[in-house]
Amino acid sequence: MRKSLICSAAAVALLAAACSSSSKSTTTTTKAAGGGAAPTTAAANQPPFDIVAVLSTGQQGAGGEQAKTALAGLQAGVAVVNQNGGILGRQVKLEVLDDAGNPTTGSGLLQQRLQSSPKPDAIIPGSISTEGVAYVPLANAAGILSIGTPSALALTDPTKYPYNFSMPPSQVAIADQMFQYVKQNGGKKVAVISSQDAFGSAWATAAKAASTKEGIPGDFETYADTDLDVTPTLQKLQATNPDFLLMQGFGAPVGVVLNSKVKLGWKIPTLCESTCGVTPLVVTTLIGTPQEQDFKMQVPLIDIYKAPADRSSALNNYLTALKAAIGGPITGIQNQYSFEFDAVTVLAQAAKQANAVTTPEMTKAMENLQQPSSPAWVTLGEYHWSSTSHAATGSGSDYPMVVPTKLVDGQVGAPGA
Amino acid sequence: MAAGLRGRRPPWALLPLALAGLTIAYPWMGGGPFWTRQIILIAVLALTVSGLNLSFGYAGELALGQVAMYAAGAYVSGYFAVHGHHELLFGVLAGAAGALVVGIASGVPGLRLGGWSLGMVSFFLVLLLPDILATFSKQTGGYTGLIGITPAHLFGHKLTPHGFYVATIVIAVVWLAVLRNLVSSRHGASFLVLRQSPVLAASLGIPVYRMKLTAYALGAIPAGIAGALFAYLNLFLDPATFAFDAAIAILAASVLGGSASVYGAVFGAIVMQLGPLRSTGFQHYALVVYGGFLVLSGILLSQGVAGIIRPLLGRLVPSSRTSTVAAPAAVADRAEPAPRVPGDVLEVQGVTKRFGGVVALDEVSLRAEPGKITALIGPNGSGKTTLLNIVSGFYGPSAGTIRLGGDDLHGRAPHAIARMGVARTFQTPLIPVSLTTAEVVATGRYRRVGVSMLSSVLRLPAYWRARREDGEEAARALARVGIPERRDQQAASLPLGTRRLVEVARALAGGPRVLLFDEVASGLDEGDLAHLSDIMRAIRDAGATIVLVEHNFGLVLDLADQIYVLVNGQLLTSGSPDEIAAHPAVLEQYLGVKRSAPEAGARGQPDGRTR
Amino acid sequence: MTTVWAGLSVGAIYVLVALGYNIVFITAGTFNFANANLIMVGVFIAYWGLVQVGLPVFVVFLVAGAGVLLVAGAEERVAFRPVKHHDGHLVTSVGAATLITGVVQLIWGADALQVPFIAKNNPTSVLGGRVVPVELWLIGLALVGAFGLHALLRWTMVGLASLAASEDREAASLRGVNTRWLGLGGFALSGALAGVIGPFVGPKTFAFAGLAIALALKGFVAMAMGGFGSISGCVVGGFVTGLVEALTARWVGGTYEDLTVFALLLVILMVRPTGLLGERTERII
Repeated sequence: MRKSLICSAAAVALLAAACSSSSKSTTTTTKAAGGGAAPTTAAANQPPFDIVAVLSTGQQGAGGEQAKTALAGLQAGVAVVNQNGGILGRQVKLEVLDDAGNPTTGSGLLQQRLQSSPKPDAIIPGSISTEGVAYVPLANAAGILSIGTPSALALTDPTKYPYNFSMPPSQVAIADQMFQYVKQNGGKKVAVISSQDAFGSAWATAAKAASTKEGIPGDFETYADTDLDVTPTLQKLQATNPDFLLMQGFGAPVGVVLNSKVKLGWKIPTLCESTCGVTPLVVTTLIGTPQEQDFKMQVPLIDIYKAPADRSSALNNYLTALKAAIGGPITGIQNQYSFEFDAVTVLAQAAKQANAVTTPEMTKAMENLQQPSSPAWVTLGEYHWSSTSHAATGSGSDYPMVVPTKLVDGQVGAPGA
Repeated sequence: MAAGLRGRRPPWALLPLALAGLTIAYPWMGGGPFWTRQIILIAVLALTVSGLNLSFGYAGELALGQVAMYAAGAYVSGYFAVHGHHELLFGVLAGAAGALVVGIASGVPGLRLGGWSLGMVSFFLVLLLPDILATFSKQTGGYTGLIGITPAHLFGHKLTPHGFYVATIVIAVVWLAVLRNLVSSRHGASFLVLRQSPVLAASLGIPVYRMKLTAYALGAIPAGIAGALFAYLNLFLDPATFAFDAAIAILAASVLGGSASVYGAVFGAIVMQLGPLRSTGFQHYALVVYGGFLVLSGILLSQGVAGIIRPLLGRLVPSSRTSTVAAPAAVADRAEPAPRVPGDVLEVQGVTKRFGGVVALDEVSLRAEPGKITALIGPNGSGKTTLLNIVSGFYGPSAGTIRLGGDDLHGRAPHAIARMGVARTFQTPLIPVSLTTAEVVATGRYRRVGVSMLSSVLRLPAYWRARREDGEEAARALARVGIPERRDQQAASLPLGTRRLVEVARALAGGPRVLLFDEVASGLDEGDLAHLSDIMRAIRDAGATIVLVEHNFGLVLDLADQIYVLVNGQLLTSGSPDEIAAHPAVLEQYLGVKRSAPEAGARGQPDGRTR
Repeated sequence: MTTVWAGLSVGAIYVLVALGYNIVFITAGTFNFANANLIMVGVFIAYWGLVQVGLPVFVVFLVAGAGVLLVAGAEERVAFRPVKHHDGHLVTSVGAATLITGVVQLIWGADALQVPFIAKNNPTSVLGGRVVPVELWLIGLALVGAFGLHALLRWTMVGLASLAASEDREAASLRGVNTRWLGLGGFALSGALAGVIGPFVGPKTFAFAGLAIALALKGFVAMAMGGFGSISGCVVGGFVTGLVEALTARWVGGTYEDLTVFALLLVILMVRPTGLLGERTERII
């Protein structure tokens, strides 16, 4: 009897500890960029430009790591923009809501934030599509501009979500560049293998569209992330006699696919979609092994090494600010940071063009964004959105195929890598 | 009227309602959006867990596919909402219907499988969910999720966040009240009987398949409702929500709150919703903290919060436990003339039973008359229990007829036979756990008088009448077997002899046309045996038809009016006790006495040391 | 034939997972959900020993076996023994599993790591099918492990005591079987097995934190298919699951793997509710 009283007391104590937490919100002050131009004094009595980012920084594991890179990119962007006078003279303030990998939690936090004042000026709706799906509708319903990396097709439809903008090009556009590469290298038929999850299925759909567009037929197969061996699936694809193998995956499954391919002795040129760049296996231990023979991965240009002499000042500013924001070595691949960085600089440009920070004005400006001669952004050379699509249009050749090497400062192809 | 009201509803039992009222009023008492959202999430989880508590905790069915039903509810109502049908009540009903389909479909294997198999099959639905959602990706949004759910409307008006909160809590409270009314009624007792043993359930006239399906359905509906509410809360659906983690959270909430408890669902939901909240603050250590939290909770709350609170409450407020039967207005007087037991003639003619190549019974005939004790004796393996099982319907005879009064019992299901007035006891007493003696005895009455679930839920007059009559009948039966003082004790923890008596009382409570006693005397000491004999004589004199299957030769000689001897599936002989006691073949079988010594003192040995 | 080898090698891993489940089920009468996590720990220790520290192979096996044995023993002591009801074990073993995964991630991070095989691992052709040596080893290990356990259970006193305890714990206890130590021993044995197979599982699956969940569910399916408490059932269930997955992927498509396995499980259970080789009989009365 006594024991169960003690037990229930302990349980109550546990609950009390749990109850004492309220909303999870941290305000990060922007870190000052080291060196570079002296900060322009912003008008001290102007309210700050409030960017609220919902990210899964509190999640343990790959998701949390990825969110942290996104956060660092944002912080770098905020630092650089503030250095250059802020957004229309207002200093940018970054607020982070931690959804710990759970969009339901984040949804609640965002709703709560949206109900309190001052209202945010812009929202970063997570860093992956399953988060974007949760947060974009909320931001949109509140009439607030949202911009970020979630690029699910539904989110880039201005008729549904007029205030949301996606930084990367549409997945079809990116996949199309892969198919163009196939075409240029004499490929007539492809085999495609992708994972059974949100990334994989979205990419497979995009690849199907690109395959039709480029007139290169393909056989599409999938594997589950929990599969320990994909040899049978590869056999099925091998039987169709393709010229190229296009694959997609993240983490261990990439290794499993490549291992199975080597076991089969199937020597076929293999192209891997951009998440391969985010998979450490690909850019570390598998380099130089049979697994990566005749193997290329598709990455945006920012992920490819540029000699210091060839770097623009924007790129240098970015790298400096990024290193300061991270406060340590760059562990991820560049585009994980750079798109977020670019988002902040794009906002600054749009505000400048619209000469306003209200959402409708900025939206109009973004849909007709003027490209400055030396832009502050670094991932795509140019960013274009239109009133029919809110996925960015790049130059059409900003996602080349490269041979993986070790990452140096988040880039492949550095000398000595 | 006062006598009827007494014991009906102690005032403090309105506490849950008061708490519900406070919860509903919370936003106006200063509750902010974060906490109202948490309370909605708790309500949603509590609904889902309540379904599991009913199907698993009460009915003992390991139907663990709650996540699938939850997802069905969410996606069905979400789909309709995306397409413009955002009336909350419609969404909730649609969600419940979707979950019902999933629940019944995934429960069907459980009709045939038991225990672990059903548990596994239903649990692994969670593995298939992403694939199923992906197959219908046009309707469900596939792996990325369902986007664009329009906010809920109530009767045409868009609900404010506060309005939605109130609606959710009200729906949850209504459902929990329905469930509570159900489990504290005969139906709760029936579920507990089913959990204890489907055989017992059938022998009490409870249709097992139908009851199981009901349990699956009742387990599914709240999960579907919860899913619909969740869809309207989030306005989007992420398939990762309906994955293994959610399944574990539901199971953990059930276990931690107390599986066989309606309020336990709420406790468990509170623990599992609020506990992990803290762990996310630990970032790097989030998994470690969550894991540690589960281990700790599992250790501390291994009986569930309800398991801790109930005894506490029971000690503080003895009348707190809601019984399924009413306490009788006056203690039944033993001296009252025992009411007549409506015994009927049981005629077994030429019954043969083959199991594959083995002939268990060969042309066995038997006649048991009212007001007589008919005994069936024979060595182990002679087929006595098989015959009993055939009469009660668990086996079908390969040949022969069985008639009770004018009714043909052949080919009917066990529960139908029970409803025709066949009552029995078991070699090992089958007594459901968590019921008091009076409640157990009252279950014997279910085969004769039924009450619909609707009456129980709505507490209609039929419910109250049945409750009162159950209590009176149980008291009478307990008095008859001489243990009225045990009525409020946990029946499963009584000593063996007393439990046997409880089974006899239970068999009596239904006014049986024939009473089948299966080895009712085994394991009893002399005192218990004498007491039991007295009771059986009293019941016989009240007009019952008693069939006694026994090993104890002495007891049989003492009690029986007519004895049938079975050996190797065949009827050796039959007759009065005197005839049987002197029968040379019987003596040889039972006492190893040679034919040539007819007077070797076999007769009247009180101590039943038979072969 | 390549498909068959692939199915058998994956099935072998399922067999090993199911064996671990069964050891605990038979000796302690309960289900240790964290068994797959123990195997994951073994894989990571193999990575640590072979890649990070460069220990001789023999030492790696020793450390892995002993290390996971200790973890399993600790798990029994902390998460199982204090919990009275078997229902509670479900919660605490999932808690233990999460804890183990969390600690592993803290130490080794979230990325997938390559575990080298202790010998050469070049693809070869056997019986007309492509296979790598580690896969043949895994198949062999599964069979040897199952046979070893079977021998232990049938032909040693400890084993017979376990079988008795699994049928009726009280009765066994009354007959002098120390069921507490038996339970702990079972956990320790499952831990040792999990550790020792680490250097074989790792090269095939990679060392990553999500490995546990991939193994747990499929191993459970294997156990359900074969029948709880049956060693030979593990073998049949595991290999059948692996083969069905592989054959479905080869001839029908990867999307239908899980559905097919699930459907097969359902059919088997409908026909034999106790699994293919399970031994639970239910007396009607």
